[in-house]
Amino acid sequence: MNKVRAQLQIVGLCLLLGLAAGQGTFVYDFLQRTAEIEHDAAQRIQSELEDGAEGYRRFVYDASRHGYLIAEMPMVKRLLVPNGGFTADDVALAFDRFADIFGRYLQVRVLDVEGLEVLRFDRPDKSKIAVRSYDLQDKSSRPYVVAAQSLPRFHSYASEISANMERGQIVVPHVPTFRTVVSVDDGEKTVGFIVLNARVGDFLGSVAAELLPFLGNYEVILYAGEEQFWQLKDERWYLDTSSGVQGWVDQQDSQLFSAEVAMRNQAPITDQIIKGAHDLFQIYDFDQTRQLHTNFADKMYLKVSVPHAEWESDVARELEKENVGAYLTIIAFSSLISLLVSGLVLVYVNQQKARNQRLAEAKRLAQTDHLTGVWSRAGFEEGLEALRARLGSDVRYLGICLLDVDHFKHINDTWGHATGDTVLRELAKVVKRELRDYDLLARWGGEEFVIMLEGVSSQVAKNVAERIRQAVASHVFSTELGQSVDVTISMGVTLMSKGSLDQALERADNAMYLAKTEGRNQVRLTLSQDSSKEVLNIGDTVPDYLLNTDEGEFLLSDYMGGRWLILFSHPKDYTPVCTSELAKIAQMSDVWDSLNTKPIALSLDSIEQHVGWKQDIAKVAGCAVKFPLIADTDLDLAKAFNMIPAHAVLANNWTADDVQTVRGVFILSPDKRLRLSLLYPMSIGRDFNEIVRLLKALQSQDAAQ
Amino acid sequence: MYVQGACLTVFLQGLRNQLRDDPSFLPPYARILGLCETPYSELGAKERALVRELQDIGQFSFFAEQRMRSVFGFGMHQGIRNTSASGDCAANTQNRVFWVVTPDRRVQAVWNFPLIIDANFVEFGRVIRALKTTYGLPLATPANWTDGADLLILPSLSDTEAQRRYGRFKKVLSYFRQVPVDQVLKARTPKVDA
Repeated sequence: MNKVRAQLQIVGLCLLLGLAAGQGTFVYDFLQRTAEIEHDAAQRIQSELEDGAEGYRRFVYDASRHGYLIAEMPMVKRLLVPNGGFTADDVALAFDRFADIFGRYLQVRVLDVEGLEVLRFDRPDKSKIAVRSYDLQDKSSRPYVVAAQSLPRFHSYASEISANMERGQIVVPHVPTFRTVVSVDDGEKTVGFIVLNARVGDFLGSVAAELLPFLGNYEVILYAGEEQFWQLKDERWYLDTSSGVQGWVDQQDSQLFSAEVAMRNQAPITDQIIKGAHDLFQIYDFDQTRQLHTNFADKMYLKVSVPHAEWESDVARELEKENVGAYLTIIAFSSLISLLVSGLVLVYVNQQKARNQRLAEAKRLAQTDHLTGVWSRAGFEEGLEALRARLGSDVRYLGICLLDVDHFKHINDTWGHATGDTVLRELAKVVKRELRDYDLLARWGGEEFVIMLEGVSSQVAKNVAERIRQAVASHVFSTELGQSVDVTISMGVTLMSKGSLDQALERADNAMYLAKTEGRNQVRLTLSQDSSKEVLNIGDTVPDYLLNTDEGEFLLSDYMGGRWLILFSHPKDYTPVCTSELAKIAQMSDVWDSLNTKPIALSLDSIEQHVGWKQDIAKVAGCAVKFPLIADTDLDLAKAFNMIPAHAVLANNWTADDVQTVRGVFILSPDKRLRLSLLYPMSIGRDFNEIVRLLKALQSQDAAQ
Repeated sequence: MYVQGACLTVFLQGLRNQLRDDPSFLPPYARILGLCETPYSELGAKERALVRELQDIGQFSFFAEQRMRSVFGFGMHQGIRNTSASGDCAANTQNRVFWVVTPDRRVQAVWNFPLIIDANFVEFGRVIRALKTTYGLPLATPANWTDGADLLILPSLSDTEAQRRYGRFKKVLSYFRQVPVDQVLKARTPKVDA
């Protein structure tokens, strides 16, 4: 709507000026044409998504792994696969996906890093697969860059243009790469194009392909800022500082362009239209970082000395490195009236610039908490989602900490809300000092803050939270009158898993609730969903816990690997019984293998203690211990598996002697369902013949079903 | 033990056979309490006959408790699936549960079985014997312990004290000390002055 409003503003201005110049018809056409193009573009994108949304997304995903999808035009699709560390199979896979979705290739070129062509396919037969890994292997010992073009809709597009010509209509290529392409005509012929918001890479990569055939009779000059750097005259490009693009353009005598030129030549009216135009083709950078873009364009231009594919790859890399959404505005006009419109467009551009700045400022304000200056809830969620998308499967190493000020209401009631606000501001500063630059700190609401720690294990996340707690507890908070205010915080810590942010926050909230109920001013860690509220029963699917073991951290599902799991838990302070049992488990490794079962043990001791303990177990067993020991120091699993009664969990300073039934055996089937549980007295060692009997019975039951 | 109606017959038959064929699996000081949500009067004739037969053998009591008050009273409800707050166990068709409760009414062990797997009464007896042997003492039974096998001395007892109480023991690790059960029983037997 804002865009329409902005355009209406322009149109209004155009109308006034246009009427004054007696060009009302032109202004009307300008408006109509703009609206039509916008509408057509929306329709096209919608139908494209409906046609193959899933495939499109899948390809984009693959492209993010295997290469860059540079151009996303329906007319020409381009894929670049810089072979930085990818195998030939990866490259071939990316091309296969590309071809699946976008049809056969027009051209595939494989170049090495020096721009030398290694392999080339021109219009491969539709029935043949264009690229296979063996085509790429051994072609070059150096990394290579691959570019592909696909024209799935070329023929229909060409037909459309041809039909338009026959109807005597203005032929303006709609280049969907650009957000908006507005053709300007005076009622009889094209007098210019306005191309707004074209990405630098897209534009420079495709302008020749898409616009060149239609601008062949124009004299086109491209400017970066005020500096002319590209000129098109008499259907040839003239470059002052490089011949790279010239060379590439000269190569464009391929069938594609031949077809387009031929088509155009078959329409006399088009020739007349185009011949009537001799105008400037300018670039205006109207984004907020004009200087950067100008420099970027210059820099990029200077690199245009290598073949097209690598040049585009450079563009892609630069875009990624600079992290800029560079946009250019192209204006081409052919008559006096176009100069007037040009001026209006600049007004429009300036309005857009101001509007963009306002939007950016509004967005910044929305993402910032005005009281503390840290991220707002909205900003945090946006940042976290972006991070999750970037991290992919590594999301499990994202730590989420929820922080709540203890007795904050009391602070407000005692010292007033102004002091409460001061405390929150100071608190944000103290917490921020304990974090890395790229950790996210946000005010979640009221006196609650949330922290996101990237690339941490559960123990590191807990250590950071503990460090923050201590920093807050030792910091001197004071009122405006200099009176000291005691401030402590309670924190709940968890790790992100494959679930949603809400689920992670719920876990952190549960942990924080425990910290509150156990006396405040402390940190609690939980890794399981609802671990403090519910226990697992027979038949329940066990959550995919992140297991902290002496053999490293891994997910339960990764450890199981589709096999049965038997979990042995061990109570504290009954080490000899546990040692005798773990030794038995170690001796029975062949039995577990034969039963397609993976054993794992759990105790409340730390990893360091487990490392030493394993040596003892091996000594008693007389064989190696080939299963990991989970360090359930925070009782997360013990609680979830109901190894200990609730009163023991909630009691302060509980000891193992308070725990009645913590020697447990839990059998999980490959689908992670809890199938059987046996809780033994702490002082009584289990009978492993009975356990094997039960395991076999369960497996027989499943086999029978 | 809590047993669900559908498998009651099989379970009662198994228990009856075990008691009849090898009654020694259950120590004489142990009692079996059967809990079922179906009232005795609503059991079939076969089940009622089996209950009476078990009661005649002894050591067995049967409680039909639709509301499962005893279970909740003993705090033994953990592990029972789908039990609503009202205690209605009609929906509980997933598993059967066995508890071992010491005379001080503390739950010592909980076996949570799928219905389809029959209980091993011998294992229950083994655990009860192990508890009886070590209960209240700084002793424990190792894995696969059977009656008569060596016991483990818990770390809370020093070497000196262990030596004084139970005599010589085998020290595999600093905390892994084995003592023959007869030495323990001897130590527990009150000395009668001549």
